[in-house]
Amino acid sequence: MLEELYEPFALPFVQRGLLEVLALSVGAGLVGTWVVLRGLAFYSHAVGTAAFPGVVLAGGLGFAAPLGALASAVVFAGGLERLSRGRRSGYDSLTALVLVGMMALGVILASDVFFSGSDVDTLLFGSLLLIGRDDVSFAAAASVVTFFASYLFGRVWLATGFDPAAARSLGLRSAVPDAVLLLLIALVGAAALFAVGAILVTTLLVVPAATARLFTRRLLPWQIASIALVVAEGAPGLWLSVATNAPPGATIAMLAGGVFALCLVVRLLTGGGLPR
Amino acid sequence: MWDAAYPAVAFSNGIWRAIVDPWTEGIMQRALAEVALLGVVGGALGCWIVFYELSYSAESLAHAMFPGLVMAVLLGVPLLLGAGVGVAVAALAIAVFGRAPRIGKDTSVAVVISALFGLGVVLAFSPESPSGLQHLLFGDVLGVSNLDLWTAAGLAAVVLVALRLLHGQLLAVGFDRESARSLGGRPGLADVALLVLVALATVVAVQGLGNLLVVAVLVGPAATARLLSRRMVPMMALAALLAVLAGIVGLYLSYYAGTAAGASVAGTMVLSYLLALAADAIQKRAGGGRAIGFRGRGVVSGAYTFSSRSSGDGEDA
Repeated sequence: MLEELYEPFALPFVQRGLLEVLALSVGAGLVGTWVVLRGLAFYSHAVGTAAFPGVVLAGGLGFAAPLGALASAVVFAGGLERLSRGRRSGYDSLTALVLVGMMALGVILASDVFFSGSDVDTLLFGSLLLIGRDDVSFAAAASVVTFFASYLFGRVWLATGFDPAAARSLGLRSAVPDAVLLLLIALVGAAALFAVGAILVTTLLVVPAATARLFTRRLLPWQIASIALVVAEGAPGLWLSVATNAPPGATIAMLAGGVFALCLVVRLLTGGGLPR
Repeated sequence: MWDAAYPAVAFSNGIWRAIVDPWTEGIMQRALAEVALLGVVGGALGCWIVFYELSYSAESLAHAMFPGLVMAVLLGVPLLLGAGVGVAVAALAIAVFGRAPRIGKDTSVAVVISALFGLGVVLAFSPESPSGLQHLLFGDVLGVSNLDLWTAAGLAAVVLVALRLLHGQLLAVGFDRESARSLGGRPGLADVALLVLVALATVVAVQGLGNLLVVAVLVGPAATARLLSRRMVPMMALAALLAVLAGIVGLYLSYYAGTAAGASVAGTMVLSYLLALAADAIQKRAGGGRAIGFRGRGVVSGAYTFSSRSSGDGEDA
């Protein structure tokens, strides 16, 4: 019985998928807490999706896909910063517009320039089962960078995060720490793209941190719980997808969503109503 | 023979043919009708989406209805029905999850999107589903049937009538929630009504643009129009016009360059916004003209809003 349970993990490509989840966990969990704290969920969704045309371009021209993803995500982050400079509102409209523009560009590149075919599905929805060695290294590097950046800038991000007024206007104050945070999300978003796909990066970047947030107020336990949840949702999701022959990124997304819903119910039952 | 004798006539004949040719086919005529419908509805409603800063909600509703679309294909029922059910489920989930403690509304919306979109992808890749569900993601404006068009037209009419009826209410609440309440406005009603309308407009537009590109028409033309006009009704008319024009340009592009139709339409809408933004910046730098741009909630000036409300017919189209 137990052996059957482990059976999928004996396959080399599943092992590599598992390695990818582990390599991503620190980066995704840590960045996730900052994303939830600063209310940057829409931005992180957008930056992941915006990496899509870069990966299509990389596939078509034959250079390293992580490079394409990162370049595309950074172009998005920089473009958004440039366009929103000096504006007090409309940040969400701009995000949505630049996001859908990048998406349309990716679709046209994929269907009419490079004829990428079925690769498009893989890019949009990711596949932990097609992970290469490069992708794992990229994810690990993103995690290391995130760790040190959190160590250096965590105090500043925390201070601004607890001031909702400042958090709302984020991106409009061009302080260095804010720019670093936005770039960091772009980096981890680009790394997560290969695991769960362009549209589902929030599965790893937002959902675990949001789930952990239901139970803790203090930063360190929250960060550790988020990292642990990325692994605790990623590994079983991977297993389930192999067992049911379903796409892994989407399976993890469903699983993570289900865990969040369950935790919310538990939290509401034990917490006695909604502490607002 | 006229062509040979008069090169100028031949040239203008050629241009005329290039302009008219695409619309001789039934497929393109229906695509034109679909683009016109989604342009008018998306453009007009989009002004309220931009004004109320609802872009993320609009995007998430479109993403989260994916399982509804896939189920419609699997069960063989009309796509619009699946879209409607999908949107309703998504809106309900966002309303419930939005009450989660300690995390912001944006965060809970992200949780709902990824879970529902994940469900849709798992369904789409199940062995029972037909291959090639990309038209659900990116739209299939060239595959619209007459029945789809009539349904979309009906929904579009509902949205436009509702916008007309709710105009004063939306304007008052959007400008200032607190004073609107004291003047008999109901912010809660305005919010819910707007979300329902966004859901309906998404259902109208999803056929043409797919659930990943729908947000282009809900935000793009409105944001462009906002750069050019400050008053709500002209802005809505301008946005609708811009949306339809961008849609037509996108269809031409797709016809002659052979690009994916939905992406061409969406790309044209975003590009026209970027062009308007660049023109705006150049104009500002030159020092001429008024400073226009995103003015936040102050886009409708207070004096104007209330004078139009008190006179009753000031700003109604």
